[in-house]
Amino acid sequence: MEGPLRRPLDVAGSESETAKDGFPEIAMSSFFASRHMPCADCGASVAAEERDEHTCDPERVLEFRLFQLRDGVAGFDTDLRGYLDSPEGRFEQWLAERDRPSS
Amino acid sequence: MADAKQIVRRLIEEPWTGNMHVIDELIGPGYIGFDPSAPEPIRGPAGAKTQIQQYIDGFPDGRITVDDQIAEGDKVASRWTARGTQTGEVAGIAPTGKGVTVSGITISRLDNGMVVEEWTTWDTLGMLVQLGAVPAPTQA
Ligand SMILES: [Zn+2]
Repeated sequence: MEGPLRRPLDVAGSESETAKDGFPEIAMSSFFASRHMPCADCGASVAAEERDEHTCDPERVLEFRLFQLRDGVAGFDTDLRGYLDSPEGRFEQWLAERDRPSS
Repeated sequence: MADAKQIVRRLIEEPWTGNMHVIDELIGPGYIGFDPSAPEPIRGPAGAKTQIQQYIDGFPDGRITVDDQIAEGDKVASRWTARGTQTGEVAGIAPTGKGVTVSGITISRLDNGMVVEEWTTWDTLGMLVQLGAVPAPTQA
């Protein structure tokens, strides 16, 4: 199947507005509750009975955030090249070159 | 002949540790499998590989652990837990980086040391809830 129906559903962070104590509010509902839920801060799968004791591993928090930002990170070089080629970017380069202290 | 429980355990756990050959080794050519996430019955070793591979692609670090097994006659019932981080697309859901834990039960029928029929029920809704793909219900 082609078209928008085949586009992956982007749900990353979609529950953040309802997050409570680091876990999405969806976990509080009785019918749709899942015993395990991912921590909203680090993404780790945490069982309901371990939620109070859960502390985020700082390394995992960093990995999780970088994963969420992966498209931006992957596109950084392209965006930078595009900016440097734009009139504004070219002017900034010219200005930086002009103002560089002579050695 | 290898123990029926051991055959089924290997078939459930080993594809997730990189051994897809276990499917050719232990699934019979006339295999038919039923899974709530598959719209049609899963047929033969090739069908089983396709079914498993889509979840391995979604959860490349995933692992399944068989927690308990009961054997009677030519059937083995296995209760299992799957854990993994969704770094690939799965069920149309873009990668979230979230950790997911789901459980399931598989009943396997064996013939001559190979699995020929399987009925699996697993927590598909739990996976969707954990990934945030099911809208959060409003609280009363
Ligand atoms: Zn955490």
